[in-house]
Amino acid sequence: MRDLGGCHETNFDAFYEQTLPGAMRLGHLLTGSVSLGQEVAQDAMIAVHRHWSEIENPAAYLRTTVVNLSRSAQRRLIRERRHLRRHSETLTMIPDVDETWEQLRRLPVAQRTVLVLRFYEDMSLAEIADHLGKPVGTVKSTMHRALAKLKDVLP
Amino acid sequence: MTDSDFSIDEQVEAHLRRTLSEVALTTPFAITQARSELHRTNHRVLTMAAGVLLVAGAVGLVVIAEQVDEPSQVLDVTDSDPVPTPAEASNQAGGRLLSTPVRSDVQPIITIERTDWRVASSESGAAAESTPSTGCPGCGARRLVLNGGGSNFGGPLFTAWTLDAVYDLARLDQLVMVGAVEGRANVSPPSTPVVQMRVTIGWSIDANRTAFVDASRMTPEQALELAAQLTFEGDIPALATPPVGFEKIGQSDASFGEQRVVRLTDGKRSLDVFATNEGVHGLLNWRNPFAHLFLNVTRSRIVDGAVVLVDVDDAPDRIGGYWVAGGWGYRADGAGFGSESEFLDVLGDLRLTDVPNTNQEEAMPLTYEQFDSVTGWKTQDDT
Repeated sequence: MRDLGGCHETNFDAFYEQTLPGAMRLGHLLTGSVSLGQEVAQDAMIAVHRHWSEIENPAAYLRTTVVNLSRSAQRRLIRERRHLRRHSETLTMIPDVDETWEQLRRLPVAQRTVLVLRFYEDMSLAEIADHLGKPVGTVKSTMHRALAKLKDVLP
Repeated sequence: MTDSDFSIDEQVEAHLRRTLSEVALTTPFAITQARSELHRTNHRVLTMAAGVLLVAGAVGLVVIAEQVDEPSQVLDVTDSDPVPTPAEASNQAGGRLLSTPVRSDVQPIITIERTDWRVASSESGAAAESTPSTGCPGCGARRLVLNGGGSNFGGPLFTAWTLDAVYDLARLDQLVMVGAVEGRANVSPPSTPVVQMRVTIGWSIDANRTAFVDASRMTPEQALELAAQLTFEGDIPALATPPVGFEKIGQSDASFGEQRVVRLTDGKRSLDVFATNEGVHGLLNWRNPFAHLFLNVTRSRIVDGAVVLVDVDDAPDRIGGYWVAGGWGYRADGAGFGSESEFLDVLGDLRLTDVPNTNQEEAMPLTYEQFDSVTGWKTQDDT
């Protein structure tokens, strides 16, 4: 969903066409599951559509919704992980990337969310904190814990 | 605190950025496919709704839809069912979860009568907002629910409730007339790919009371016509003569908003059971993230005499179903099942117990997403 902050489309269909791929990608990265990410993106689109006339920044609303729905999908995520683990070995065909992604998917969802928002969505710590409704210090410590885990296992 | 306070190995950062970008590129775009899937689902639902409306002149409404092969079976949705007292409920240990009515003020403690299965986690809690307010007028509201979709809830649904407060109706999109009274409505345009079937209407019925209607699979005109016939003498709106083909769904017991989430597994398959103490109302409520019966197309199945509505459209390795017993409505989400019958067999082995589960394998915080019917959805942090 990069580069969509300035989207001022008034036509929902156009917005849908433009932003769904990004929402799916973000949902994929946040949940660790392609299918669950797609569902989250679609559900987020429904939320956007419901309030289309009220939302000043649909792209930001969509992103926030994807993040929140991904968090609430934790239970299904556990189930999806089990399924995906069997099929993820050749996800990108780039060994070190696939290996890192596997480690990312094993992180607690809060830690992965912070990493995805920081290093995929290019958000600052303050923006992430604002997005998640958490203190910046909490975001920072969450990221520290995530990176500490990853540094031990990254290729 | 700024980002500069946070040092990170550049190599690690670069690797993470590359990984996330590469993985993101593997996400299927699938707009056409997604649209097609949504249209296909909606088309089926709309076809069913159209069928319902066409035969609305008949007293006995029969919903004919593909794969709905047992339409004569109905969910246990009225409040006339024998419900036990709390003392009686505690004596129901061993009763089938599918068919044992549990009062809405008694938490159903769920277990399974299978030696190879276990309860992985079990949690209960209250919804964030269990009473209507101006911030969330649909939360916890006691509603009139009229079902025009027969036993599978596959057709028009009309719900109405009131808020004992003044509500800023300007938050709804369009000016409409509810009979002779001015109101406002949100209408999902039929041309959009994701929401074609929902109409929300709000209007003031006196100086300190606001009425709301939430309808699915109906046109705005149809919803407004029914809204104009509502009366508001009691706590719950009433419709003296429901339209032919619609049936009123009995209100469940009081004390709304309690939920229980239980995860069971045998190591290969898993079952998430979501229970809400609003009976079928909870399964039809937009704000309940686990209850999509308002939109889903289902087929009815009988398990040991209990009716389970099984989702028609579900992924091959996933399957879901709904049922109601007493004051509780249930949604079961299965994964890893080889067939529908396998899924239903496991549902049939779910039991009530009076022993709280202690064998949780992981602490799983609950997150409730509040899909409010008027103001939109809001979230509550993990509890």
